[in-house]
Amino acid sequence: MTTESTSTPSERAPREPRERELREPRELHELRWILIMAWRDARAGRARLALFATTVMVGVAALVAISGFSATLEDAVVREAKTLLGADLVLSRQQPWDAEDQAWLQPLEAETLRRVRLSSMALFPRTGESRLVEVVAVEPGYPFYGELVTEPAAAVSSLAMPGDALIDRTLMLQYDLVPGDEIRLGQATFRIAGGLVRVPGEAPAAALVAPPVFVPLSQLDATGLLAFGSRASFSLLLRTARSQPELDDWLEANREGLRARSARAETAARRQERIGRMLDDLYRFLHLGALAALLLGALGVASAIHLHVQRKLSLVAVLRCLGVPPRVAPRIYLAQATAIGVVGSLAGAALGVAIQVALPMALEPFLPLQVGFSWQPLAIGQGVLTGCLVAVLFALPPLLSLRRVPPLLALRATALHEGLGGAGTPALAHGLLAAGVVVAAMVQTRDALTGLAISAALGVVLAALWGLARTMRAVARRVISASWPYPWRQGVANLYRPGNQTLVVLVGLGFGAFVLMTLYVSQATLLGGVQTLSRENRADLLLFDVQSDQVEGVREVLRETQVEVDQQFPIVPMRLRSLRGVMADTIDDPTIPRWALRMEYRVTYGASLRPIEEVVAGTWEPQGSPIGSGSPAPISLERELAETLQVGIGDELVFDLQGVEVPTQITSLRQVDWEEAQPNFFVLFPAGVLEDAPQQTVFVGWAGTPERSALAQRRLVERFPNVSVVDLGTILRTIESVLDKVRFAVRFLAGFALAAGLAVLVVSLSLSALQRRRESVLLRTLGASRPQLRRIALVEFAALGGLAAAAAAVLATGAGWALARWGFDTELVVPWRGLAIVAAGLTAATVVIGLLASRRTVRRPPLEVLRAEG
Amino acid sequence: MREITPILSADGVGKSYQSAAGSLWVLREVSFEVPAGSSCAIVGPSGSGKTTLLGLCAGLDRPTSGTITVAGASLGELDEEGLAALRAHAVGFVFQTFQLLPTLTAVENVMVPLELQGQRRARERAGALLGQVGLGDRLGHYPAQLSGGEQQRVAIARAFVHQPRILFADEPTGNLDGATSALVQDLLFELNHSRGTSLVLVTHDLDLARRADRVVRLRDGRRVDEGAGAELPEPAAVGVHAG
Repeated sequence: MTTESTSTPSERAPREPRERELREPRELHELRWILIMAWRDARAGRARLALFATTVMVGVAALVAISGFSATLEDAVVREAKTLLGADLVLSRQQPWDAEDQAWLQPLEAETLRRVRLSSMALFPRTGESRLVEVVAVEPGYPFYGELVTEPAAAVSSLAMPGDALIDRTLMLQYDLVPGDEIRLGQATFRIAGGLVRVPGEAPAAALVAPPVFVPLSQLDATGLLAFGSRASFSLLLRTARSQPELDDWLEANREGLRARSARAETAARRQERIGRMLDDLYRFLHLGALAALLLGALGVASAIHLHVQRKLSLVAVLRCLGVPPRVAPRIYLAQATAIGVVGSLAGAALGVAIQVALPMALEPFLPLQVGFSWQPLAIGQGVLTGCLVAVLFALPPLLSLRRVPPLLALRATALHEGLGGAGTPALAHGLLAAGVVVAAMVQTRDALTGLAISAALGVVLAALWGLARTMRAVARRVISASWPYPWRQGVANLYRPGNQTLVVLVGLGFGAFVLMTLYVSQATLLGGVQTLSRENRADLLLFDVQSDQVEGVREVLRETQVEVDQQFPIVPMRLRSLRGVMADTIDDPTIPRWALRMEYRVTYGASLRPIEEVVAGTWEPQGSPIGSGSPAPISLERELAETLQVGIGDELVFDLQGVEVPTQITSLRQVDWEEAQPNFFVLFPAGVLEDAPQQTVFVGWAGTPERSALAQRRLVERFPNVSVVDLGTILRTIESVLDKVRFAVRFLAGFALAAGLAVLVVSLSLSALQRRRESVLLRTLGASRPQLRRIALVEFAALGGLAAAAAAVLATGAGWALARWGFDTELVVPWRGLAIVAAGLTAATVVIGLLASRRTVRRPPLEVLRAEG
Repeated sequence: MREITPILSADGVGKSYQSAAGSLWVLREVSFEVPAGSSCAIVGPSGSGKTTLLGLCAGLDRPTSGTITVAGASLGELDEEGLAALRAHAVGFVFQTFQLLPTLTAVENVMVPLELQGQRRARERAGALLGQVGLGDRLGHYPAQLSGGEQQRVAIARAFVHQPRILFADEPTGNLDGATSALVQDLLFELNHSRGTSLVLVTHDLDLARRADRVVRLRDGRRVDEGAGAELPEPAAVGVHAG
């Protein structure tokens, strides 16, 4: 007979004296043991863990580099707001400022500097070449804040020297000019004192069409450029002790005064705001790239930990047999994931800082101010913290599934199918993960709504890929046929058989490919509009500001120099006086931008439309009546301008032509291809209305060679100094070189995502190969040849890679469209050919990496693998 | 007179799995007891439910019916944490496939049960025990660097190091050659006797089974016989083969 004890094991005293030497608290002991085990376990797989850490590293590097750069840029914009403007307040208009105006400004007690800007042709007598430039005539002491950076540095003082000029450094390089050479502007000749390296507040790329030439204001009259028809901007720069709010108050109180003087005002704060808006697209794209790299890094962590967990199942089962509580085993690997996060994040931060040093060089042409390197501890801290959080959050779901590893697995391999699965992962882990993604998206896009929208879109993408993977499994099961060759049957069957990784790999791979392709489509969309400018275009010379009495002379020069005239347009400058009977200068509707009401419209007229114009509403009427005939002229408006002014067919507009009212009625709306490198017009009059109005002429011509173009420009500038010539050939070549820098910057960024994506690919496919390892070895034992095993793997990986890439391409096109529409406010450009190449490349990479991952199994003797597998 | 307390008691234990065809019973109404300090072999043909019974007795799985008491604790009343605590303090395991932690050295594998209990001098004690099983010069070797017999000796050291009250062994000699098998058997019973650890073995190896104090024979999930190991008939008579 036996008796049973009723005490529990914890209550029972050990049968033999035990050394219960546990002096530290249980939690501390447990934590210490977890860390020791994590360290011991990591020893055998440091290379693998290092690979996992690289996925975090790449994401954090992108994050730190971009956040650090953005913060540096923003700091610079704030710090140099006054420098960007060169003054506290700048007032500009198209007439000179007089003594009465100075009296009006008296209350501001400001020092003033005058500046005049106008476009003109410049001739370089030594080389005989000419070029359209922007003449900037300034008084000594310009600017109040910041400084012109010149080469040589001392050349900046030449602005006080009559007869000296500073010209854009790139222009000097293009035309092989050196200090001491001469430049002719109109009727005056200046000595080039040096090259302008940087002008405060100007992005170097802005100088593409008309590079700046600075001359002393006192010399401007001598050039004779301020003639009738020249479009000069006269500015007053003010330096005052008044605070920004006081300046704002003064501007508010003097709105009428400004309006009466047709002047616009800009303060340092407004300039800062304007530059901020200009940089928004840049920030959006950069942060989108960082988010992409971060998400890919996160996906890499999730895949890597999933793979890690798959390898550790039997080990965890043994630990459970040895008495390790279910909650403790996952913590060993959580400690490893945290270490991966910390190491990856720190390495990523270091790499990010290094990249932050390089980024300004790539983006220099587009920045209105010099951005050097500055430590951004906040960006570094945020990057490291984000990396660690991402590593932990994305590791949690696969790790928590370890709680469900049955100890019975140590006895029976089949116990796995009874116990482990994603279904047991607490909703909290998934909730935390989703919240993490939403927060990351919000932080990166700097907008809660956009962050939410992106997160929702990512959810849709994941759901679509998940659905696709399930469909793929079902379809594979149905289509498989006994008539197929063995490797095909086996490869396709691998997609749905027990233990298949179709869902994990397809979703991981597909999501990675989706992020990469979205970045690619966004890049094409952002650069697409600019790229079309650089395509082969027949017009390479554009002449404007040709006065009526100069038309014949200009034609003669063009004939002599063998420049073909493609098109010739009359230009009549006028302003909008009233809109549907309301005076334009009294309209205070915030939904109608001021520029559209105040700008000088340079309209043209003619009896026919050009091929690049298309009537999209109403009817184009080719003939009108002369001004003063009583009936409004039937005009055609560019569609987007009509939307901006909130007018449509039948609405009446009255223009002011040098004091004469020109009543018009909108009879048609046109779609204009603005990307064409030739003159386009907002407003088009019919023939018979403006023929007698004061006007200028624009010529569009084709020189064909740089030599003929240079000769024509030289002759024109000699005979007609007021005529401006835009050398489209030179501009397009310059734009192309700048675009090269943009492409480099964008690809540099996309490179991050690509690196993270490749890491995800390697990890995902290693997972699949691991799953198939034992099976492949058994097949080899049963007599399958290595080529047969390779073909099986090839079929499986080609199916997974091909479908993931195709799905990603479709989803990325959708995401690209959404980003173009709501993110960048532009038209979607889908690089179909590029996408096809990327998809094919991803499929090929999947197959190659998959085969490489399987190679070890195929090469090693079967017994060796079986022993290693246990 | 003092009665012998059973270290393991199984009463009407059954286990079924759900399948498309309904419930599949792999074990039915199995009852037996193992007195403290004794050894018991569970034998039977393949598929008779031996390993299932071992897993249930060790608290690695839950029975569908019946109750199991180990070291005074009714397993049905313990949650996963409680079962883990029981295994950590009172239970040891030896597996057919050794199941050493591949990323830990021999001595670290043996240290794990001691470390789990927070005991000090774990390395010293683990090293001493490994010396006792003849592996004093293999302390820093990883499992992959050891032969099968050496791995099983490490596993036995790990199973005994925390002085469990009962040790479950699943085909402990199943993967070993004859000579090594004999060595491992000697080791198991020597430790069983010297440390007073109860031993429950699942085996096909009749030589091993005969050394046990008791033998429980299973067929088709039912207990068909129980007796002393020494009374076991020749292999042909019981329908099992030597492993």
